[in-house]
Amino acid sequence: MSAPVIWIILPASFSILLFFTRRGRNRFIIFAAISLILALSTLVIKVNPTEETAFYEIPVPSALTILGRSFILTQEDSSLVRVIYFFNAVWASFGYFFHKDTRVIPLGMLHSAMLLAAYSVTPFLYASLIIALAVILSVPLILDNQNSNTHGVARYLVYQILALPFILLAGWFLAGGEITPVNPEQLVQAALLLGLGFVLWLGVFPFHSWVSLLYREANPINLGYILQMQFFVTFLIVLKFIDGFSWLRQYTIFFQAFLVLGAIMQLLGSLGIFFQNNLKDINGYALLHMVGVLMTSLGVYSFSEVMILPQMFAVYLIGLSILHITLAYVDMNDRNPTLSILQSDKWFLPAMLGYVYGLGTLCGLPLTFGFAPTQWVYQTLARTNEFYFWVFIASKVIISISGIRLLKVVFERILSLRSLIPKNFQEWFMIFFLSIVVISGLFPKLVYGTFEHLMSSFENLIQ
Amino acid sequence: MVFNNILILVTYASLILMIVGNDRRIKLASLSIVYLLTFIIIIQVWPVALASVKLISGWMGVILIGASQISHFEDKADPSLASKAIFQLLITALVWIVITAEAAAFNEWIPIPYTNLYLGLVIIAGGLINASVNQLLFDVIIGVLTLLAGFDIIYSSLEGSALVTGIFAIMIIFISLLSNYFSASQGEIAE
Repeated sequence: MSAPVIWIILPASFSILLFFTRRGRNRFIIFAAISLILALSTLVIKVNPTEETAFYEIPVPSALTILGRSFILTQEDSSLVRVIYFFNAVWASFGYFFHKDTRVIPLGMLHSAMLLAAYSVTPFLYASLIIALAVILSVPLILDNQNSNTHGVARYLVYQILALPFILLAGWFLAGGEITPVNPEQLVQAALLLGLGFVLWLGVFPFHSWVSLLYREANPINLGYILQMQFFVTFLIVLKFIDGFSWLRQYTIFFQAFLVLGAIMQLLGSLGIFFQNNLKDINGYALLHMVGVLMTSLGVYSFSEVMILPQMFAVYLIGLSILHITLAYVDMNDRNPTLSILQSDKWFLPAMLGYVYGLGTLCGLPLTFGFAPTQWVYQTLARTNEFYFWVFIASKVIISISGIRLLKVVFERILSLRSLIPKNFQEWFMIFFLSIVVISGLFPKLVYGTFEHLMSSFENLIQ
Repeated sequence: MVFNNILILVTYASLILMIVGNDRRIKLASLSIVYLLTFIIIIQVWPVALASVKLISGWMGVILIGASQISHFEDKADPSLASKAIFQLLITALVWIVITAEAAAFNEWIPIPYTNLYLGLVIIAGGLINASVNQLLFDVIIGVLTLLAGFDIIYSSLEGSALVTGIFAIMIIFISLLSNYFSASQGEIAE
């Protein structure tokens, strides 16, 4: 039994089996338990060990061959597996408390397994095909079939599928010259094709319109799960491309493009957060903002030779998860949550504080996960490129103002400390989750450590 | 040469019917013709067994979509708007003119038989227009499938891979199943 069988085939099979079991709350518990076991299995499974293993460690081979192509998960990839399945376990716990009829719970693991398959396929240019399959699978997970409003999902499908030809064609261009391209003209063509593919995948301006449309149509807990995970793995695949092609690493325009697009996305996202009245839209723009931040973090690598992206991944996953989960709490009561409901009693106050904390994490406020990596990006940009530095600062200031605006409403509603006391089990769980996040935000090194290991698979990039 | 010209003309005709047509049956028939054309083109560069996977998966997709649309066959997209059809026709013609002018330049990038490249680009453009100018998910799905068929022609001429063929076939079936999945809500829109 190889690593891809354990971490891709088995979870995919479990997910399908679980889909055919009787609907009920047990599904969530089984899903969370399997996810947690898979996440913990990375501690005892040793892929292709070079030394003798301990009695509790299980040695497994790294490759699985299907239709002439290999799926390879090495020991260095185990931290990615851990992050993905731990994320699944957390999401299943919230699904259990907040949204009973979600399809994500049985089939989300299949989606995660497909994303892992896309990450592990060799040659990695075929990743785009598996991503496209994962996108198609994600549509029924995102949207209920009774939903008559499908404009967002239609655009999502078209844009994501449209990325496939660009990436595959770029792959064909590069197949003959993985180390150096045949000529400079071909280099430009391949970089353009790859760039277009990435831009479509990540919903980068001007191909971002589907994000906010989709957020209006879908349930935040389902959509948050799918998009966060999909964009996260897509970013890792982008890193794999950069790691795999030395000419791409040395092509400064490629990194500059990330900086330019990152700046646009950050501003677009922060302005969206500031001006939108619907909380679902705000979450959509927060996602776009974080895509911009991740792109900037990758772009600054060309100046600093230090990769801050792993820590930023932690901010991205944790910050956005808080926003989605707290919004899911509101969405249980109100299908169209606008800012005006903040003043009503529909929102549990600690959840509202959690939402503000999520925005603070994205801003990089002190005592949150976002502080250290955001400060580092500030410093690097201030030293190297003042324009991007001011754009970065401006976008964070705009989000901070939005957060303060929400905080004002929270304080207006706290008439007595009694309103902060949880009234049911869901609210206790929310408090428990937020407490863990806030405490870990004070001591973020442990979380950053797991994310830092993500980069160990990209030997060329971190050299 | 004559055969290639016939292929091009049939492609034009089927795509125009797909884009301008107001009846879902006509659109599905056009899509099945596009898959037949894809098969005829790919069979010139690939073995029959592998090329027939494209035809079979494509037609299976058409059947799946057709099965989900039986109750909506009489629905008209927007019969009153002749101007919409004229606009779609003009925009399609414009894009095809650009493709005709630039296909030779593309051929320097992508060294495959000219007819394959040209037809691939024409079909991709047709699919993209169909997906973008219509609001119904049915049209978007037909457009995406057409787009993929066009790309399949170009990519198959470049490279033959069992994995790519297999995943493409699965993608076609899954996209068609999406039409099934959303058919109930699409009926409500049409009503």
